[in-house]
Amino acid sequence: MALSKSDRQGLVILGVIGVLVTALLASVLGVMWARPALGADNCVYQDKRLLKRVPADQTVILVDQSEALTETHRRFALSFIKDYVADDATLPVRSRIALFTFSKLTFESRDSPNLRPSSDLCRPPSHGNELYENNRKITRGFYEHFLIPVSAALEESLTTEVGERSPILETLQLISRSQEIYDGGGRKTLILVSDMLQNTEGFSHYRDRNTYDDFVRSGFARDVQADFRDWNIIVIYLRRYRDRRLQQTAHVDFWQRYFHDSGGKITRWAGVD
Amino acid sequence: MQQLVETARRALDVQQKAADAGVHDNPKTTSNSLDANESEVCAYFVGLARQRKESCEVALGRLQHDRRATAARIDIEQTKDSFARLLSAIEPNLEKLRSDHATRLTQAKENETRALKHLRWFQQRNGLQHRAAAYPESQLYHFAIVAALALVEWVSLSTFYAEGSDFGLLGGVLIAMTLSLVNLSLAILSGNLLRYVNHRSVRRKMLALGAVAFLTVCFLLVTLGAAHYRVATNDIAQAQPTVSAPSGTQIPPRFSADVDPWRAAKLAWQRLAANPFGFEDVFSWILVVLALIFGIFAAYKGYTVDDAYPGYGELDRELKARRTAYETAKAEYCRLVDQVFDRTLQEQAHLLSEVKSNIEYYQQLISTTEEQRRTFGREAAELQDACNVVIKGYRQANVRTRKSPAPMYFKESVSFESYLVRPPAGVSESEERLSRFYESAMKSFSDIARQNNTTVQNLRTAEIRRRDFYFTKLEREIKEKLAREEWELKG
Repeated sequence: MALSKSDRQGLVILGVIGVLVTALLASVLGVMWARPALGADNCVYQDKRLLKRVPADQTVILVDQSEALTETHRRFALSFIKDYVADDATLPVRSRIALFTFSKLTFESRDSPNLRPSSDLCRPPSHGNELYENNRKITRGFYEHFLIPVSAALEESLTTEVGERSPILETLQLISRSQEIYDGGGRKTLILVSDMLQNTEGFSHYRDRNTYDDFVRSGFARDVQADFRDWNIIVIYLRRYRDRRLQQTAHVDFWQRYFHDSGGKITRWAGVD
Repeated sequence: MQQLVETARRALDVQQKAADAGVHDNPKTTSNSLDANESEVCAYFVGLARQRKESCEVALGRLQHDRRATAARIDIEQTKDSFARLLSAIEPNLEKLRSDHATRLTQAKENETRALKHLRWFQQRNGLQHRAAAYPESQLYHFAIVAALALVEWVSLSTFYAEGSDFGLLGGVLIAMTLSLVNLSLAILSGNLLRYVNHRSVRRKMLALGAVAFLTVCFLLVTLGAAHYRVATNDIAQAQPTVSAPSGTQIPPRFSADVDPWRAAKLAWQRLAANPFGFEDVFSWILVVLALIFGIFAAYKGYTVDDAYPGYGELDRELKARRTAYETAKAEYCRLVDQVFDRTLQEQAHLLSEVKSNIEYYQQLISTTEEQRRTFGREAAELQDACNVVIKGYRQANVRTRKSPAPMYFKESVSFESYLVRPPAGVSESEERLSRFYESAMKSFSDIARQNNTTVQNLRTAEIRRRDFYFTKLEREIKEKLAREEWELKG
């Protein structure tokens, strides 16, 4: 049967609408298909069973719990780290952030040191494209599933104190060789929150012979040798009034030489009184 | 000829030979016959004449063969028979067409008449005689407008739903599309059912009113539910305070709720049940008003999808379809009848053109043969003349150098043997007769074709009259048949 002019016009209109609807459905399906497999830790996984993460930038926050932080120290560290993790430039979307704490308890176990992250999450996006994403939901997810847990864990770690010993060198060695930090990814950054006063039997800044040369000569340097190649180091240096005699230029020089020798690059040394 | 002479002089070295012979007083004064040099010249030209004659004979032989073949293709009597057969096939063909199409035409006309009768009965029964059925010319176009309206609705309402979707504006369009499909379907259906309010049956009228009321309530429920859904997603989102980048000790607020669409839907349902019109923001009212406007338009399109009186449009379309089927069958039959006449004329034209081309070719072969013979005669005479010119030149050169008087025969010219200058046999007497016969036959064929054309035209006119009569008769018979059936039913 031959189609009339109106029929043909109708078919054209229906065809155009059909194409638009198909394009819309295809776009939604495409967006669904293109979304990565995300785990509960916000990280992107290579497989649907969430067994292997997609390589990404990694940031390790290491908090020294050997001595209590003053309110100023705590506030500064919290603010610094929050600014760091909230900034897309310093911590890109989907990059990993792991929070470790260390104290004498870390090394008290008979079998092996107990260094486990107290928070291990990836950074979700804080905003999305309004055309095909729910911006509000994404922002909420950013706070709910990332910023709040990270802040909470950080706050907790900064308020806990397990005194006496400060095994900084041992912990740095553990971190640099830890299986928790996988290779083959992007940038690796270490944020160290500490007074940087090493105090263990092997080496202590509280003793007389506490220069870097003394450390190297002591042979302990070989025992705690770390590998920080490809790492960027940020140190939040907590200055203590009580130990002002020890936290002088020579002390800072000690750590700069230490990180240099272990292959790391100090990108920021933020001191706080 | 000049060229022939020059070529011969150069080839035979006539001047030199004449001078040499003259120095030795050759040929002798008493000689009566051509000398060796003159004989050589004669032999040269005789050879040429022989060649020409042979080639002419070959060409004439080929032409004769062509004439025979062409004559074999021309059969005057058979062609006359073919012309006669062309006309005699027309009537049987028409008869076959009539018998082939009679059933179809009768059935189509009967269907049309029954449909018309049914429509008249329906109009009378429902008091619709005063107006024709009114419905859109194209249902496709009608629904395309509804679809376009739906598209506009999706786009207009998408932003309202985007906040509750994981897929942003795209998801908003998708939700709007889903709700709009439900809403517009309800509106179109209720508009369509509203036509039954015009029905004469009170029961149907009541049923339709009930259904329309039900569908309207459903429509309102869906519309209000959608608006509440939007409000619910908004409220859930607003329950989560806006958070800026954290700084200092300020801790980001915790979110107590989730913008899960299902959760929003649940909340929307609760609010709808509690207070259907309880919207606090103007956008929900805008959404409701927009949905109502689109719904009213969709209901109008549903109402006008067919005639306002249920069933009227359908019967009218049925009649139009039957009428079209009959007109198509009729047009097809007429086309085939015309084709019979057109084909006859085409075949005749082809036949005439074929025999004409054969006869013309035969005549052309005859004239070509005569032309060949005339040409040969001219060329043979030319060769003889050229031969005499060369011999004359030889003799003059000889006379100039010799001391003794020239022989007497020097005054005489040379002649070729008659068979060399006589043209070969051309067109025979019988062939000339045949050619004349063909010419008259051709005239006769043209006359027959003209007569046949007139006859075909007359037959066509007669067939048109007969066809009109046939259709009139067919329509009358069917009317009578239906009247008889009605009478039998009443009886």
